[in-house]
Amino acid sequence: MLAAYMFVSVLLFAIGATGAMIRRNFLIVLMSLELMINGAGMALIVMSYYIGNISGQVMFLFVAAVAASETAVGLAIVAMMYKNKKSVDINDFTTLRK
Amino acid sequence: MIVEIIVFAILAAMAVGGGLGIIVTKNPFRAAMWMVLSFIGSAGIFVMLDAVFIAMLQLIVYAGAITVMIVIAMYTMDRLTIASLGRFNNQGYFGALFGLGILLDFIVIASKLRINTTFAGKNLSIAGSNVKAISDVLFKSYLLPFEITAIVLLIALFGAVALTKKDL
Amino acid sequence: MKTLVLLIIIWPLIGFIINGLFGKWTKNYAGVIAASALGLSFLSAVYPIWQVILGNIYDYVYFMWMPFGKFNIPFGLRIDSLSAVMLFVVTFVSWMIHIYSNGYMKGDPGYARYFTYLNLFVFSMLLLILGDNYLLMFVGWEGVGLCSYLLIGFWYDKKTASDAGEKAFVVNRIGDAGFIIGVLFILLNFHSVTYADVFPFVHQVLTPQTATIIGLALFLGAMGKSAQFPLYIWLTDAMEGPTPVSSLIHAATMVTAGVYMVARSNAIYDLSPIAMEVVASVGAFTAFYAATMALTHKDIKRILAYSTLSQLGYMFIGVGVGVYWAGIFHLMTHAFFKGLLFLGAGAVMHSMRGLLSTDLMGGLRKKMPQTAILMVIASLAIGGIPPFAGFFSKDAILAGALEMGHPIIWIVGEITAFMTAFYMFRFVFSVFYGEEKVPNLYHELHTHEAPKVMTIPMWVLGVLSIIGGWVGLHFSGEIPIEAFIARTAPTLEVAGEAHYSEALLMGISVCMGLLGIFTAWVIYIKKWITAQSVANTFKPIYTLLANTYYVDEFVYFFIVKPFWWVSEYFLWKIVDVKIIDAGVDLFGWISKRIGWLFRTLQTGFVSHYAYWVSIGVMLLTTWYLIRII
Repeated sequence: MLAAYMFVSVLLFAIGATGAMIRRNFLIVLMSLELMINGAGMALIVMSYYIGNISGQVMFLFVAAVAASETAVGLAIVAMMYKNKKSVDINDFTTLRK
Repeated sequence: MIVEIIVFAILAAMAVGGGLGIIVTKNPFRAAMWMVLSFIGSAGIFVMLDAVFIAMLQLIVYAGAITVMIVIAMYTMDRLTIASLGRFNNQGYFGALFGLGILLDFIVIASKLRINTTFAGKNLSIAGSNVKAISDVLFKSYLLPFEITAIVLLIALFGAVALTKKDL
Repeated sequence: MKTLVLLIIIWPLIGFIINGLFGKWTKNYAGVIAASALGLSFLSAVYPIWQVILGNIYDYVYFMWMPFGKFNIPFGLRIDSLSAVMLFVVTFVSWMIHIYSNGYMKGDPGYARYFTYLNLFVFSMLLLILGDNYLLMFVGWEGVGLCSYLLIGFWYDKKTASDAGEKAFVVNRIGDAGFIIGVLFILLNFHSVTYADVFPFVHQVLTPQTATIIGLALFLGAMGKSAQFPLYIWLTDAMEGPTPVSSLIHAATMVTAGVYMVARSNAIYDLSPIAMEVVASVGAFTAFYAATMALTHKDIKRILAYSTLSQLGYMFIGVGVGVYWAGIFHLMTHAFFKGLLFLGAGAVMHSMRGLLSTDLMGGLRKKMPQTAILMVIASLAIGGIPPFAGFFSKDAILAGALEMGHPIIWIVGEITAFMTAFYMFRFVFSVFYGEEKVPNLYHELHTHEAPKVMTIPMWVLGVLSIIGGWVGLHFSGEIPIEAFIARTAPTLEVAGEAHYSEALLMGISVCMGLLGIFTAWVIYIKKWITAQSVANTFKPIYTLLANTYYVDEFVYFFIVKPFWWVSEYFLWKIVDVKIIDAGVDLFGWISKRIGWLFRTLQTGFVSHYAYWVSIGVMLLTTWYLIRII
């Protein structure tokens, strides 16, 4: 069963990563990032169960806190992008090059 | 056992299917709904793994708070602007390729995992309470990281406020 | 105790920092601050010196300065009998000269700057003599070189002064290169530069050949710093600096660093008769050669500069023939009387508004009685007349040279002693005795005795010029200073040491001194023979001497000129422009190309950056997989 649980976790992570790379809509990129974090957190819970150590669950708490911060900042960025260019397409924002 | 496998299969399908839903749906609002589905599936898996408290947390924070936050952010924007975007990047197939690569690598690693499962399912609750077990560790061994997490959240709050104030 | 020893070097550093950083505010108190820093330094040194006299040796390591795996260079201070003598001389004489400078430099716009440099100099000098390894000595060595440069060019708006500073710096570089080569050889052979790791094992580690190489390389450093032939040319030009600087740096302390270093390395030199022979011969030659140049000069500071060269030559004779104690003893007495001579010359300059030529002076003793007396005392001391200090030390060196089997050096030394007495009294007689050469000059210049703040340090040094040599007297069968210094730098043991009647040798020395004084008296007071007629009789020699053997011209045409030519037409126009600049441009071009390559990767699209991240993740995980499979 361990492998099965880990496959789910890995799948979530990989789907999230793929989404973050291929989508244009920044809001969906953010959601994909949430999915990645959730996948990583699931690995913690699975390992916590199979090793028999509660620390993994505590770690998930921290992961959740970081995910919440990330969403807050990410949404702030989306809001600003929208305010400035009336767009949430990441391809409209190439200021890293300049 | 067979019941467990069936339940797991349903929950895993919810989680993974929700994830796929996010990355293929065009409309971000629907993607958010798919995300909720995925998170609920994950929460179910957490329950199966004796992480009851974390499962509840998952529902409240992820499926509840974060989703609501994203949806509310969407409400402040023009529906056409955000929903009429094309789905994928110009070179999106590269991203899919890399995502597949990561998946393969990770699956191989996950299948190579060899851990000592003598204690599987033990030590996860004190006197039948999962919350007690978590709080016991959290407030004894991880007090300082816990406090630092609070500061991280605070700084994220500041950051969010500062960003929305400033012009790009 | 450990702190006390550290404090000795810390006080001048504090003075340096205060005056260096807050010179604008300390303005008129800069001198007081600097002098009190030195006073405190001297007071801190008294107790350790006393303990060393009683037989202790201090060697404290404060921290690891450069730990390099197997070999470590500590920051440690060491006070043994050799450094104790130096410590006394440096702290005390420096203190006196700091006090004197308060009067001499009064009203100079660079008052605080002057004392900043002076304190930094003393700090470096103390590091040089107290450091317990060669590298720390080298730091001090360079530090004093730097301060010497800064102080020679102190009046930097004067072209000659700044040129003289540069000259000193460049000539010293040659010597310093030798020094660092010597230190590297020591490091190569001993895997350490700490004295305690080197000297006890010299016999096991070094062959006479390596000892010769090390000895000669170190002596090259000493030649630069202590201005021995042919690297002496900077010292006379160094007289462009303020006179107390000449007194402190270019007579009493810094230029004797080379002597100290040779004495410190006595274990290495003992192993190499060739290196010893070179040291002694160069010393003897410089002593004689510089004394001849002092005979004809009319600039009072240059006379003293040549005299310093000559006396340094004596010191090198002392350490070169193996009687290290005599060299260091002469170093000590020389610091007293030569410091005093320079201070006296400074007092004369001070009251003569910077005039230097003996042609303008004469009969000054009526105007400056105290200075005149002190100058006579100092001249008697340098001339080697008992019971003044110079007699004992000079006699010890010459007797040592003879006993160690160097009769030629002894003869040269005695002739030089005659010349020394002659030129010093020529100086004294023509400046302080006789009649005014230019009528009414003194009246116009308001020539007067130096203020108390200048005369008191001079008197202190004057007293030391008299009694300072008495430690070289026989007391109950041994000479105290010999026994003391020989604890650290034992006299070289020579098979078949010759013995001569001490009284006879002393007699000859005293006769030489008196003969010199008498000759000067005949020529400059009684004028039975006029200086002019002597000059005319030996016209070619006189011209040669008056032009200091044309060495500066020689150096200019055969070293400086070709150097410029090579610098301009080869190094600049070919090497710099065609090779170095082009090379730099090439690297610029290459990085521009590479930059272009990487710039194209910066598309600005967020997802492209994510691709790179995922590629990184894949590489890492694949690497991990390869490892675990």
